Amino acid sequence: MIGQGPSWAELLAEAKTPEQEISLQLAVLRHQADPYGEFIRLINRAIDCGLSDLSRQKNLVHDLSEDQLSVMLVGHLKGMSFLARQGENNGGHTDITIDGPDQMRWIGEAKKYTSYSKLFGGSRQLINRYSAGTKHQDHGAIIVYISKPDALGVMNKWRDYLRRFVPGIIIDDQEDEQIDFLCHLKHMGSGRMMHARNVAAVLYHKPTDTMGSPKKGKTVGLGAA
Amino acid sequence: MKADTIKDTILEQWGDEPAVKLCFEIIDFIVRESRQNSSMMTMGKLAEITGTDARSPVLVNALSMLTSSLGVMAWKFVFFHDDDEPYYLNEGDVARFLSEGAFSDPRTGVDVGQSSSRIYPYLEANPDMLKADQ
Repeated sequence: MIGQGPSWAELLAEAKTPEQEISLQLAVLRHQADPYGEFIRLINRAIDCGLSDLSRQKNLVHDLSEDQLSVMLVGHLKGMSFLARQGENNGGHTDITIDGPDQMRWIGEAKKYTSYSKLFGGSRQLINRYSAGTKHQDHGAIIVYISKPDALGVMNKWRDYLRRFVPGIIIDDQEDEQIDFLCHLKHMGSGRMMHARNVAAVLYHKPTDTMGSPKKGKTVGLGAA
Repeated sequence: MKADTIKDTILEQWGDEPAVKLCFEIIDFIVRESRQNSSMMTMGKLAEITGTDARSPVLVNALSMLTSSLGVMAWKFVFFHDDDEPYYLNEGDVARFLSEGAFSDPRTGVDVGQSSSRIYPYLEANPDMLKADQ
């Protein structure tokens, strides 16, 4: 057997990018001590990779619709070998569905930020319409595409909005300047707790290097005010 | 599920991915070969079948599709003692090894240092899944 292939250590070492590492860990998901927990952990990492990729291309993608952005994100997930789909019917057409072994399912509802009431509508869709809220189907995400400035401010206000208007919601503490947060809410149908990650893609693109130099008595943008 | 049905699912789901071609080659091999030949497929053997490198990320992607998502194959692991005697990890061993990175030598019960460099993955096909309706 030795010489007929790499050891596990060699395979891990060969996974040079986060995407390759996620794909390798996804491959052995069924054999983990906690397969569903690992499934969610890998999806969270994969979504972060995908959103980071979108942010890197913000000059090209900031004007795209939320459906177009989700197509790109699903393509990224498929590239890591996730069984990811767009528009799957789950009591309505979900933006992103990822299926895993043993009936595992994760659902992502994507919204391009224009208002908090729109995000709130997305949260309702995710938690009480699309998700079953049953075992191995009780995690999902609100993915917020933010083409406006100050994504952190948007997400902080969104968190405050949820606290104010959603009775019974539990929101995990987060570190300063962290742009994502996790919330938990009782699923109306199943009566179990549903866990939703709220995560942002930073897509604001307005180059300041073409605005000209400061003139006497006036300021120009460099960072956010 | 027939092999063709699984291939259709793969095409529908991952049509543009380079790993799709490798998935098809592995499925064809499993259908064509005897159960014995597809019961212990090392990464080296899979590399031969697909004409790629055993460490190729594209091969890993293909195996991820065939194992985690579709259940056509299952991962297995073997540990080699210093005298090259193999020990085939059971489910509990595998879960602990993958989750904690730890493995106990079954002869001594002592955790093996850097065990991942002495543990080799291989794959076991589930030919019944591919031939059930044929």
